[in-house]
Amino acid sequence: MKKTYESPMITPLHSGLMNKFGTRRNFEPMTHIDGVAVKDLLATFGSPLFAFSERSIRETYRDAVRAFTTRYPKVQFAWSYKTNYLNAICQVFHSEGAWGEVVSGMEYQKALQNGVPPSRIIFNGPDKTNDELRMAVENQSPIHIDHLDELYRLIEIARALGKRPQVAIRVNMDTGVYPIWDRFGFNYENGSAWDAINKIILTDTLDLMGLHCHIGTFMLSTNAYAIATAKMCELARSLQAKHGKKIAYIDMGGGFASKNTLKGSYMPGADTSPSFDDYAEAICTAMLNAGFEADALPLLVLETGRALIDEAGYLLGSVLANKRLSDGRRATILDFGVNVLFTAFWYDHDVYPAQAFGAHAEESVVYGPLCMNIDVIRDNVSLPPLQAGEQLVVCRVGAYNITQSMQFISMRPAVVLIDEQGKPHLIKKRETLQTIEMDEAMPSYLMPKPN
Amino acid sequence: MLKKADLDEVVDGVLNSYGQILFVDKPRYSRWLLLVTMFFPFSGISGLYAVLVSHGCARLLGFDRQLISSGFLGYNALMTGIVLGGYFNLNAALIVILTLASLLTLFITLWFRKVLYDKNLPFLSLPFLAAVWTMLLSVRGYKSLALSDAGIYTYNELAYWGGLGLVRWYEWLQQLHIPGFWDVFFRSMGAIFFQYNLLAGVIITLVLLWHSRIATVYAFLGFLTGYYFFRFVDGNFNELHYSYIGFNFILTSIALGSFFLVPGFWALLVSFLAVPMTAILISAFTGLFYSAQLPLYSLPFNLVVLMMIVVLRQRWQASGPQLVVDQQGQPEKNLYSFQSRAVRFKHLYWLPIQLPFFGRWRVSQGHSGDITHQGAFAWALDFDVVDKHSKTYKGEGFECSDYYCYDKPVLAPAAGWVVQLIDEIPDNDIGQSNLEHNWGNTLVIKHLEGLYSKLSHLKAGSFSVKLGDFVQTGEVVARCGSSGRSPEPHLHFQMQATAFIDAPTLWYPIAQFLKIADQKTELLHFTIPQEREVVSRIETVAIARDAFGWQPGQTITVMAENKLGEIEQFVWNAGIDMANTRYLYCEQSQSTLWYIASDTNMMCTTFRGDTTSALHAFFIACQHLLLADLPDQWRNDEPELPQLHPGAWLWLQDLLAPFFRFLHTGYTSNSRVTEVGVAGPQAMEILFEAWIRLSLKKQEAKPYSSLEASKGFRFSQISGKINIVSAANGLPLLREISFEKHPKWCVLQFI
Repeated sequence: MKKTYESPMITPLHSGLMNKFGTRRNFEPMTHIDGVAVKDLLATFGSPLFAFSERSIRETYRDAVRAFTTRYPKVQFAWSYKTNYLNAICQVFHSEGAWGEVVSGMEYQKALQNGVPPSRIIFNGPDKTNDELRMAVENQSPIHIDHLDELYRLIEIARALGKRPQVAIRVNMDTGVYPIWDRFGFNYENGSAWDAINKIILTDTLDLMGLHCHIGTFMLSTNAYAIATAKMCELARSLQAKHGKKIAYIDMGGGFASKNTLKGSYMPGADTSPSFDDYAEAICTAMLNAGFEADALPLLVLETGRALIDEAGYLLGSVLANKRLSDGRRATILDFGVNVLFTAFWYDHDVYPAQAFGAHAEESVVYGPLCMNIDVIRDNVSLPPLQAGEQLVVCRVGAYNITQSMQFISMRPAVVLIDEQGKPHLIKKRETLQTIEMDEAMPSYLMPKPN
Repeated sequence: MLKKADLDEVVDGVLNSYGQILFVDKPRYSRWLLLVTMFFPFSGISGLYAVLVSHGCARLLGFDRQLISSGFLGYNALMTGIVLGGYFNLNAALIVILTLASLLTLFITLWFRKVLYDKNLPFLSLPFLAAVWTMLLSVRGYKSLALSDAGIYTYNELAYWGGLGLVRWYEWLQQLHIPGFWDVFFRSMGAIFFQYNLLAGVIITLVLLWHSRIATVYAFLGFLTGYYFFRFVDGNFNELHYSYIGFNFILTSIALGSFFLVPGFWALLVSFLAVPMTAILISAFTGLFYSAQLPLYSLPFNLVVLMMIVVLRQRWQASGPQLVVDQQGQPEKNLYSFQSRAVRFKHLYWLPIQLPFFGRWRVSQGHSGDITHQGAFAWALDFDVVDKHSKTYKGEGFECSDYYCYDKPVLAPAAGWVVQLIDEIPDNDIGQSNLEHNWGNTLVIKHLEGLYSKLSHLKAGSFSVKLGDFVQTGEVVARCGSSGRSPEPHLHFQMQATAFIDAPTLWYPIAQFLKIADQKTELLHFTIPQEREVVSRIETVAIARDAFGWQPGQTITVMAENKLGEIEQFVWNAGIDMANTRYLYCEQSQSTLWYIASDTNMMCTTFRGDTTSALHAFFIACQHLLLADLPDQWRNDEPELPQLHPGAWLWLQDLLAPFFRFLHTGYTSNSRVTEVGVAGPQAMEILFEAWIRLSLKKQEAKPYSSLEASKGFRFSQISGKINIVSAANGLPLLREISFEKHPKWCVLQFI
């Protein structure tokens, strides 16, 4: 291997700080993604750049499907649009058989445009306008009711249209994980859920097809799912006993953790996050043990987003500059900031240099390019010395970053999808000034005057 | 007071009595046979009288009216009547004797029927022989009976009945002459109805030809055999020319070659053997009976046919000649349905065994596998779960829990009782085998006498059933583990004939499963999964399963629109018969359709009745449907030829059918779910097509395939689409069958 020149540095010698993981993490540079050189990607599409691996998406999806379908016979995944609604990404999931799960009229339209049959678009969320509800009713999409006000509006809409919409109610409950996510849906323990169910059954305008819950996000405990599933099944079975209504599906939502490491964790996420098998074991066992008739098992719907896509996303960028902070720590400034890597607020993302480096590493702070103090990618990460212009890769950035990134100070980067043959495809162009100003309007009196 | 329907029943009963003698079951053909017996009006009327007396009596005694109208109870009396009417002149004594003889024949018929039916044997014309010989022996002493001279002074008799015209006609009849062999043949045909003239023989032959080409071919071949056998042994030809006793050859050949056996080379061989035996019996008994002054009649035919049936019934395995199991009354029907059933129902023999897991598993060791599936345990299957890279575990694979299959639910492969259960053997460390408890935690389920399944290497403490439980197909029974001789987690599955844990394996196919390869999923049925194949169960589509899940007693209302735009309403009744088979019955068209519906298949098996009815259109449309969402799979089948309206071609095919088929049938259907919602599949579309193919080459149809055009000229096509839609407004799930091509119907709508 070619030797790499690194400028000399002085690092303090820490003694007595040995732990079972040693003093430094040994890692390799990430020069290629699915066989495509990072260098080439950045040269072609500019820096920074989001890259998604189609191979990784499909493999992760199939892993998840295998984990559930080998344990329970009726399973359906619905792609959580809010996690990443780039059309190309959605299409990869749909081509694998995923339905769509949307939480706004905009996402609903996107799913329709992506060719998802309306009956396979699950309409969730607390914010559904009357027009959006009307559209979902006309299209016979399943609607998950979040609150009583929505329930009343939906009953009125259904009566006005003379339709019988397929609905589920969202249920929240105590699963032993706190705080309880009780802001969405109807509570199980205090009887709100029963209240909503009774209202739906007695008004006899809506067709109660399912029960939905979503117990939290980045859930590191599978036991919470076992409890939630058992409660949902119990609700379904007592609903059948009380009202004679068979529930067609139970939607356990999402919230499965990805392999990212949450800030403040002692152990890396790759070692601690439960696998799909762990979640599937908890959920499917509870479903099978609930006592449904063997030929009338409800469909198990899963809306997991993060765990399916996080792994497949990479953010590629370049070093703008290096400097020493007042306390002597090394600081590296990159060309992407928290406006495009929103998850940097929650995760200690793994950062890999994209080219060969030497044997030494130094605790560093990694900053973004924004002229804002909050723009910190990593507070403290052991990195080899990086030169201005050198490149690096942030891993597991597939979930939420595309949908939550904001246009701020600089342009948002382009996005490429590397197909299974290792060929990159541009799936979103880099923003331009025109993109940003596209929707702006200028009162005529403020128009700049020609010189 | 007879109502029209009653009268029809009586008339049918009478006509069928004539038909039965010649194995013809259609009244409209049989009236020609009645006419033939009237060539000698007095004996003809005696026969008719005997039938009416015996039928009247049977009806008064309360016998099954359908049985009476089928003619089974009347044909022996008919023959007795004809014979006695030919012997004596009409007077009061004859009427009394004739009445008694008819009743005697009826009672003997009922007696023999009971005795022989208990042994699953036909009574043929034995009752007639017993009755007529008894009568002939007894009446010799009755002086009040006047011997008829009709047989001696024929012309006087004819002049008396029909004047000079009839005499002339008779002369003409007698003078008809054709070459020797044919003359004897037709007169022998006539002799079946005691008419020893050429015209009668020709008419009878034509009726037989009209009813069944195959039977006619066999009648001719049978006679030919007997005739040349006589020539070969240089026998006494008088026996053939006097009383035309050769009709025994004809009946033997029709009965064995085409009626009781499935027509074909084997049946032909049987009749080639049986006819000379009949000839030997004729020669043997003629002299014997002569001394008692009794005619031999059809005794040789009766003895030989019964003997052959008894012989063939005793076989352990029915290879070679095949007895007809479901007698449909016409050799063509028997043959075509036998040929079609051989293809369509060859798997009904197996109890359906399903794969014992959810999702996709891999066959890690197949039949006769190199590792342990050897000797007595060759027909076992090992399963595990693999990822895209064919790895069975994630991570390091040092723990059982790293293995994809570990702790996954294991299902009952078919319904049955838990007869053996071993629990509490701990899982091995990876790489270790517990040779002391070879099978580890094991479950044996009894499905039938002599059919057990065994699931081994299960996880300790994971059983959700206990000894003695009854489990349903697909019920979770335990979890996959790694106990016993299992260096890494896997599921051992085998079928066996006994309940013992160490029982040897039984070769047994899996009823239906999907074989999943890259990009291509293939449906296999009654096949053994091969090593390295990734397989899964078929998912049931509930709306399709329920669409055909009619309960006995349910009525189905159909609005059928024909090509002229006329709409007719039919009501079909769903039921279940004594053989535990489900059927639909349409009273308007007097048609019945039998079907088999399971979770994943709908198969119409048999149709009897009006082939232009809407029920028949349904029968063709639903020959074989897959009730699963498999858009790439085409279910192929071979319907019975006559069901597909082959038209005039059929006559030619009938003549050759026992030996050669040039008309082949085909059917294919393709099912796909067109709408899926949270409540599962909401709409399904099934395309179907049936056809007749004109081709000299038989094409072996694969049960499932991707659609491929078969060779040869296709005609008589029926095609269309079945729509199943989830229930709404009280409409049935099976919503509509629309025909793209059908000779009569456009659309059947279910309401």
